Amino acid sequence: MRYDVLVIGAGLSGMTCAIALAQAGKRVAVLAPNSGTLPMHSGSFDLLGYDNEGKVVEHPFEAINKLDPSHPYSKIVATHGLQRIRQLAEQAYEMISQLPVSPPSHDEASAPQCPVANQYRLTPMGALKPTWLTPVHLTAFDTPSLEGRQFVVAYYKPFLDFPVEFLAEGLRKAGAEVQVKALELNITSVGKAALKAPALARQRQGEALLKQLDGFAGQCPVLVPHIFGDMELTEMNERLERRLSVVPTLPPTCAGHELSDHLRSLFTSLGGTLLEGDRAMSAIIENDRIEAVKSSKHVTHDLLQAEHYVIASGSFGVKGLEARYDRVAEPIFDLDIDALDDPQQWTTSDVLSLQPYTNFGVRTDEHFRTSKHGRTIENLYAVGSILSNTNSMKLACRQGVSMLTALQVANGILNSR
Amino acid sequence: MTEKLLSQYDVVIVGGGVTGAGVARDCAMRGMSTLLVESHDLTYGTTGRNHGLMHSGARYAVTDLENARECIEENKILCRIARHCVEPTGGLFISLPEDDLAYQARLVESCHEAGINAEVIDAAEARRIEPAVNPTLVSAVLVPDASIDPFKLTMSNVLDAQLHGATVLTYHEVVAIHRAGNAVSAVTLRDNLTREQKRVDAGVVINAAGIWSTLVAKLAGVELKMLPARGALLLLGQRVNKMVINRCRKPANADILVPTGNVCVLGTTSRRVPIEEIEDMSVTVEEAQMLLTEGVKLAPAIARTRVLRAYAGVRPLVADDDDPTGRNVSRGISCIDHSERDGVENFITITGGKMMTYRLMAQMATDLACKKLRLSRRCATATTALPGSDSAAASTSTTWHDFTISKPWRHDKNNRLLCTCEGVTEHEVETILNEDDDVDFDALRRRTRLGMGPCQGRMCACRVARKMCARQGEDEAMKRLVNFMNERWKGMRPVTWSDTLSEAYNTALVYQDLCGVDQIMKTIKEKEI
Repeated sequence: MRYDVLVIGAGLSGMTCAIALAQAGKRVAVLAPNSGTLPMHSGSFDLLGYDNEGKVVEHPFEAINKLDPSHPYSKIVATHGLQRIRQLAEQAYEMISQLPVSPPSHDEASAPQCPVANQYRLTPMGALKPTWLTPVHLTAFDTPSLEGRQFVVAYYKPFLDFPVEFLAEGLRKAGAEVQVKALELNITSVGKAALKAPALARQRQGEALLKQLDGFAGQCPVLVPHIFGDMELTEMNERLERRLSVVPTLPPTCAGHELSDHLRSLFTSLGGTLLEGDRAMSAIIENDRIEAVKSSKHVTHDLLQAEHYVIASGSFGVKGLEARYDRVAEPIFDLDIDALDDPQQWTTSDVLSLQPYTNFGVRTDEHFRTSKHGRTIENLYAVGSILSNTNSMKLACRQGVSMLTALQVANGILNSR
Repeated sequence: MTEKLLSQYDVVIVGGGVTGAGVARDCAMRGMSTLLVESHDLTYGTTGRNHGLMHSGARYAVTDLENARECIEENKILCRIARHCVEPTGGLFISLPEDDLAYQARLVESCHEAGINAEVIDAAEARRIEPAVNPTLVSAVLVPDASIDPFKLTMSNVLDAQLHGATVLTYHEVVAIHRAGNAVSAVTLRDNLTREQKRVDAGVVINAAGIWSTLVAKLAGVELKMLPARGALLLLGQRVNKMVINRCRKPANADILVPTGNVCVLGTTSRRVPIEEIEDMSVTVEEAQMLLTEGVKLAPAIARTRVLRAYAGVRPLVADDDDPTGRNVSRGISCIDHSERDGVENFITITGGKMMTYRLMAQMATDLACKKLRLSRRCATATTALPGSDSAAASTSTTWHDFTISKPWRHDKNNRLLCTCEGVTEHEVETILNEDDDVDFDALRRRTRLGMGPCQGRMCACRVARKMCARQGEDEAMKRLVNFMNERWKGMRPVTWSDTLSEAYNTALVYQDLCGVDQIMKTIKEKEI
């Protein structure tokens, strides 16, 4: 079987690229050994939360202009102008809106539209981080100040990965009044291993939750850990007068789990081929073109072949990049890498400051084409966190970089010849 | 540990490593009123930073027969009194094609002279009993080396000292030693957490502060020249070998691999450092790479094993008093009676030696203290089992789940795991936190191994920090969480290859990208200014 496009990696960037191509009628296959870093996804989509100086960005589309020229966004701006970023963001917004997670909206009065200003998502430990889009059940605010607001924060004691103490403290620091309440749920668990959020959501405890809400004083919003499924949350909020919203837990997160499922369903419903549990191993490269890819399940006579290839295998966390004794490498194709040579300079002593290695990644040209030994590989593109210089740990741009570069590359492939 | 402090003790012991703990146990068992003080946490120093190797003595047999004899004697004693701390793995001294077989012959001969069982076996037999061993070996010597848990050993001694009435103060530093004429008479302690100071009268002061002994001696007006030798070690994420594997050659870098719990430890290097640098426990990338290059020759599987972290400890070697250049090192035990050496009465320094000989060292120091206090009780530590040694669970199990000495809740089925890597339960952490308000992450780690497994604390750190909120407040708990992350990071930085950056990246994703801990810390710091 020969595909039009083979996408390597099934995280947010790989699936976004694959869906865009499949929607345009291409025959697409995705190598999906895992879900990338989606299990650590908050649910919100960060586009650009902080500038280079660490200041909060209110209007991401304006601030993108001031990023370093090496940033993936800047490459898009350089070739297609700032307007292109807006178009890609709208395309991303439309794709997210097609997913069964309720359409994200900033302004409940008017019809949902692609937002231009950042909101502030509430993190599991109570920080308010600027973000671009937040699905409807998740907790986000229009301003970072919660002066005069009141909340009930509910938690479930046996679930260890919802740091309610820090969460309540964060809300208080932002000026809110907070009451903390313990929930009683009918969870059956086996063994001593810690409970995980997606597993709790499968136990459908919505009714148990609803029964307890009346006991909470007043009509102020109730924040609960994201241990309930989206469908259940929709049902509950339809029956409630006051608003119930969820706050992400520590990983694995429900939002990441569900987003991964939704992206995969959408892709397969479009006729795409999902090669689950299959991992790219190496490639046959001839005349600066990828001829075929070997994977863990396609080793000999049935190598995977396509016209175009997209590598979306992520950064160090999911081993899209590997640190070896003496260098950083991309393990499938051994592509050219932007990285520092001296391992002593890969890290700095303060764990929370910018770690240089997090900006290492695959080197690409202005069309996100990769290279090997200095020669461009004509039909292999890189998207998402494997790209160099995303600075996403500090700029809060992870999902934006993933989706926008994926869509830019998909558009490029669709427009080729 | 903050206990009720008396105004006067027969003996004050400075230093909460295994030696100080052993001295405290011996003194308390002989009926002295005993105070043990440690400026940080128990096992903070070199005790918590070594191989965890229970030497048979074979390693010293060629170079230092007396030391080897002490080792095998103490080895046999520890097998009786500290069964719960010892895993009788056995050990091999392997000769590779490039190693001199004449050294092997000398080793075996010297071992026999020292009373150490040492049997030459051929390569096939060595590969059979230890499949991880370098298959190119020529032959090996089988010796009774073993793996010992320094944390558990120290805690057991401390517990037994307490059971015999000793007072133990952690985070208390001796800042002054007072003299009445020529005799030491009292010490001033500073609580390192509250900065509060108090004076305690002491019949005898025993300096068991390891490499820090030189600083303690100075407080008593005594000069003690130490020659700190820093050793770097690597912690490997799997138990590669089942027996201790040594290189059969003159002691050199990276020639010991010790299995311990679910991991194994490779070491060590040896580098003289100036006394000003003894607090610097960092390891360089070069040291780590050198250890690995050499270590692969012991067990090739190391090359495919993840390195969890690198750490270093400082050996408390004492300069030989007879050598005016200060270059000759005594590797044996130094039990110094400062009245004889310096004319300062009632002050004893016990240092040098090995973790292996801690009990003997304690006995020597305690004998001397008894003499000074005119007591005649005999030492019973060689024949009295440590708490935990006799329990059936401890003697039959070799897993970390029986790690600490008296923890019945380990077996409570309803108790959730906080640290999945090392099997540390919620109840266990809460019990320790309830015992002591000031327990921080590092102290918890030393008592339970929390955060010492493959994820280096990613999953458990936040869970523990939550438990600290009610006790210390959210901001302090957050700061402790970040300190812990920095401490783990320090050990990971020299070994950035393999899975280390992968783990670090995911930790950053969770705590920075998802949770915004960097933003929270920024707010806390701004508030403080």
